[in-house]
Amino acid sequence: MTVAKLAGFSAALLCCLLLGVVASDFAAAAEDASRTALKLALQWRPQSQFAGYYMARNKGLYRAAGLNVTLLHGNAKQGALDMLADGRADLATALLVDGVVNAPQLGLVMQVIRRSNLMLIGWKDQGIVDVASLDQRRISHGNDGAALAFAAFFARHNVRPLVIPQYYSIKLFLQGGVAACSAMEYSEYHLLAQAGIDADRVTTFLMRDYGLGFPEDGLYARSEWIASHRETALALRRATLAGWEYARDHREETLDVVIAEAQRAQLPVNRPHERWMLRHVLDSIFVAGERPESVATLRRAEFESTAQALLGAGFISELPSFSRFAPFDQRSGQ
Amino acid sequence: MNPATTPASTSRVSFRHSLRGRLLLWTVLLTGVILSALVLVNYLNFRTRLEDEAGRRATYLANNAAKEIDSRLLNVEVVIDGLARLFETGSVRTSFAAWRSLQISTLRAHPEIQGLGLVLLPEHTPRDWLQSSPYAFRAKDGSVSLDADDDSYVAEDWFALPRYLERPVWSDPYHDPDAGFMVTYSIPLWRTVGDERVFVGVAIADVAIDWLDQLIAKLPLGERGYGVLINRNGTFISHPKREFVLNESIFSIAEETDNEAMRRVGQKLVSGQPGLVHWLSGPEKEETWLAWQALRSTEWTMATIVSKAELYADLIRLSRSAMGLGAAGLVLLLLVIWFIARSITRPVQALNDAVGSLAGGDLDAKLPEPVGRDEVAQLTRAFRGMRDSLKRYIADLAITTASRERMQAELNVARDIQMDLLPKSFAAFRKRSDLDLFALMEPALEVGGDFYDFFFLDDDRLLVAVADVSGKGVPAALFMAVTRSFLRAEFKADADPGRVLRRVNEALLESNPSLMFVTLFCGVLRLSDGRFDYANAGHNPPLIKRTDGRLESVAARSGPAVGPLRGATYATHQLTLETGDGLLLYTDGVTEAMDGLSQLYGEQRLASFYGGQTLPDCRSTLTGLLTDIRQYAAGAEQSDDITLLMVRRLAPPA
Repeated sequence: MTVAKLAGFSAALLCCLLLGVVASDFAAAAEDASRTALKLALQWRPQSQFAGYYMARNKGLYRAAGLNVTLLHGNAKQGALDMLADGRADLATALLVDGVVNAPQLGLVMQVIRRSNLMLIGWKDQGIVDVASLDQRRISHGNDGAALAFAAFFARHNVRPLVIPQYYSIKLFLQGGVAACSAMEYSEYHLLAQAGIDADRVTTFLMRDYGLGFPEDGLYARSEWIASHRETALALRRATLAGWEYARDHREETLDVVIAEAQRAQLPVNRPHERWMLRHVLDSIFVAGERPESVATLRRAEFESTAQALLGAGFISELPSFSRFAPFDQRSGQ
Repeated sequence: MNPATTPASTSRVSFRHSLRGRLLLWTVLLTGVILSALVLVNYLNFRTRLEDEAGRRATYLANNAAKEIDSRLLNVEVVIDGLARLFETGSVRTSFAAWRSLQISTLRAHPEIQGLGLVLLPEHTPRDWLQSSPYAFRAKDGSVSLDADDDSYVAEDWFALPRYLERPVWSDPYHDPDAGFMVTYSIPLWRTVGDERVFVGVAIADVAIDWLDQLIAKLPLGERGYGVLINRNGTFISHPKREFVLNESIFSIAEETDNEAMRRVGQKLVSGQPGLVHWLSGPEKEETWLAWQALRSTEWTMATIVSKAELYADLIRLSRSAMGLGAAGLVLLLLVIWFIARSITRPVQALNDAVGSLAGGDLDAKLPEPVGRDEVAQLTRAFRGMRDSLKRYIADLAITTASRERMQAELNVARDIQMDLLPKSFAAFRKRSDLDLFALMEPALEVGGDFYDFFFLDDDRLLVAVADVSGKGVPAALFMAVTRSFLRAEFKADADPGRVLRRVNEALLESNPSLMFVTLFCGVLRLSDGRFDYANAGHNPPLIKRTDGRLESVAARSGPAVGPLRGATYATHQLTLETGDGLLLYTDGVTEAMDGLSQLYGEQRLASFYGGQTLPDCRSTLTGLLTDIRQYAAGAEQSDDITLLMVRRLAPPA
């Protein structure tokens, strides 16, 4: 082959490649245009709690389902449900209790985290050794869905701690400013270990051990949106679940994605913490010992016990309808 | 000279056994061992000292860095604490404008403060105040701007922590998009309402801490050492790996690397107590010192890591150069010893070769020239001296030997002459049937002083004589020859033995200045009737064995030994020798023959031997007697001449 021929061949090849790239871009744009665009607001800043969504997006599972999903993140000042309420998001993740409180307006697309991770952690050296020792002690917990479980927990054990609000940090607890604080097993509890606190220095109260393990993260949309976008909602549900399954089966790859996501948001992140969170979140989605079909679904019984607790505590005035609240899970509750 | 007898002395010694080889081997071995030991001990000593020193340095630098960071932050604390007290005492509470101007002037006076403000709970904000959280900050251009913080502060740690901990709190660092790496100091504000102390808000100061990394990076901790700053939860605030800052904590890394020891050390680091530990750093498990000191302002901990491997590398470099220098010295030493050894062994070897030839008998072999004044040169000179002495001695010896040989030859001649003087021919006597005679002489030296003699005076008379000259050797032999000549001559003139001896004595006296003397026995035997006239001049008494077996000693003396005494007279005695009687004459060489123990043969033994003989004939009797004497002497050196003469009358045949 002569040099001239080689150059000609190369040029032709380059043209083909360029054409191909341009064409595929155009095609992608055209495809995106043909897909249903969705904005999905996640409760909190990027972490393994949302690994399944990232993987569904990054591995093209949403696109394959005909969806063009944009992921948004809530923060301390602006919750995901706020974004859903003011129309900045089509869908949002929220705790079941928060969903039920907003029941008439919101409907559940899928129940992601089925097992409760909520817990109280108390300093042993401040005398927190059992439930009774919480009485009259200053503790902190969030004023969100967690408050309901704790209220029921304290009422059931007849203790009256002095509660101060807890936001996104457990620093006050770490510095001994409160005798106990709320924590998610998958997150704050592990941060404790990462602050050098050995497990034997604290007493833990896992709400699920006390029958107060309300299901947690679910994917919500406005009820009328669900009614008008059933297929889209179902496609989103399937693709999100597939994303979680991918995360379950490719954990280190998933951690890479989560960490990149956190770094893009300029947030502190470390791999062992995200690994711990991913493991616990996955264990709470794919709960050991449960039937495969119960994954991503909310059972009527779970719904009703949560709603009853909310009703009893005065968070809601009437029981919402399960079929309206969780239109895709009606049968599973039977 | 047989070359086969001297190979060992001249052959080359193998290097291993040679002086030079041993000298080199032991010097190298010993010096090498000493050198290695020195370097090793030095290395270990220095290592320990350097290690201790590095540990002290790590501690010192951690303390210093902590102090320096503290000094900057405590400065801010003082300012804000003052403002807070000012607010609490009420002097600025009443006037918003006064607070604002105070904020501005404080910011201007304290460039280290990036922003400062009051953040009050709404219910505790003075009514006439325009804002509950007046905040002032330094803009990028350096001017001071006024602002109000937003109202979500209740959730912030910088508000909640001082509120509930009821003490001032430094926040963890954070990145501010405008001001960079920041940290916030917040102090709770209180107001007394009745008896109660009520929390009304916090006073805050934002401080830029961009200098932190630089301050820590500048610590002289060596190439592989570094400093880190951690908060009270172990999270890195400053770390050479920027990606660790605010992301990782000691405990997250311990978890990721499954390093329980690291977790334990981390717990010590955040305990607030200073410390110093040996630490295996990083995945390479590099040996380091880890020192730390808690800050007084923030609850952070300044930690320094000093690599020991780095120290070791320096030390190993040092030891290696010491070893190299030592090795070079060793080589030099080797060369010097080689040359010295060669200067010793070469002449020694040359001397050895020469001495080998010398020992082989070649006295003309060339000896090496002695060089210098050392021991080898002395030895060489000594050998030369010895060789020269040896040569001289051998030359002398040759001369002496030659003269001895000549003298011996002359003595042999003398002996031959002497022996010729003695009658040896018994042939004439064998014709006579009435006589049996035999004589023999064994001289002790080559020339003896004894003699015997016999001859016929006429047909019937036979002279027999035995003598012993005093002394031995040539003088004795000469004296004997003279004596014998006189004796023969006198007997031919007169046959009386006594008179003969007197005349012989007179004749000898005439020329005997050294007063030599001769014992002499002589007698004349008449064969026809056995009459024997004899005279004895001091000689051993002869023995007669009678035919009836009796042994008689012929003891009669005639006079003194002939030779020295003038006027000596000698009597002639008579006895009768019957047919068959054996007369034995002998000298004292027989009785004084000695065995190995110097015991004399003695007259007793002679008498018993002679008495025991059956006298077959004279010849065999004398040879038997000589044999007996020799047996008695058993090889001992013969001290005197042995002379024997025996005569017997035989009955003429009918």
